[in-house]
Amino acid sequence: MREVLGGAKAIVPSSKKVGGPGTRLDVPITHINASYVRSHFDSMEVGVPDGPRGNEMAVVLVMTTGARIHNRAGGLRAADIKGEDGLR
Amino acid sequence: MNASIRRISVIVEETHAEIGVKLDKPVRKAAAVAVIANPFAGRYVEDLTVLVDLGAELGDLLGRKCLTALGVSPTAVESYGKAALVGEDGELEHAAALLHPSLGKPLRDTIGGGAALIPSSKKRGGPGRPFDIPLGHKDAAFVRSHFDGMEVSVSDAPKPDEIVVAIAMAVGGRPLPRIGGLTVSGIEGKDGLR
Repeated sequence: MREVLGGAKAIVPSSKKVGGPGTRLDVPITHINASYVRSHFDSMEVGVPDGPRGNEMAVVLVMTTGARIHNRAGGLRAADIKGEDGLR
Repeated sequence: MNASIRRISVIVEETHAEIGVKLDKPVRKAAAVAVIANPFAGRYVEDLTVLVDLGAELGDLLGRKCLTALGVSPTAVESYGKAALVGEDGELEHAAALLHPSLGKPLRDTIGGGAALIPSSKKRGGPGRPFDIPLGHKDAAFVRSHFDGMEVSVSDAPKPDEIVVAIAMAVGGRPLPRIGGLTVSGIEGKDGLR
């Protein structure tokens, strides 16, 4: 996933659960280079109406090109990323 | 307490076996979920300080509820996470204001600290909508056995002018972890990652 993006420093946030067809899954989202960028703490809900069946798994990757709409919760800004440790 | 709370739900899950294999030690997870009024429902308000302050109160309150439900000493908690579900007349940013600026410190204080970031999720939806609370190890985000999640829902919330705020804690990682990576015994505990 990082190679597709040409490199990325931050941990890829994740979630997992067991469920039947149509179960909805919330995929957490954070900035690709600094986990603490507050404007980019977000998520996306996805689901597949007829999956996963009993012998299937649903695997999801999410990417975005922006922050939350009208973000104004302060904290580390994307413009201020140091890019050394994947956190800040 | 300034938060206008309508309901608090506490859920404990105790997993004893997975795919027919009994676990050496049950994995225990607790989620504490508060249904609060959204003071900014239906209108754009620039300054969200009110919600930031409510987040601090909820970090402490819901953290203690989780700990009480698990019935363990604070330092026995291994992983944590947070999430919010905003009613339809609210903004995603309202969830952000509750979760990010001020909720973390009082939450960490309830368990004697945590060096790792608290994984989070947020979305908007109506009453009864399930939402997932991501879980990660409290001292080292890269501990692979503890990447997990917990689904919660409140059948009659959130109403359009409410927000559901949830904190989860776990004692133990996934059942039967075996995909390698950083283990609990290998935690250095310096940077919150490893």
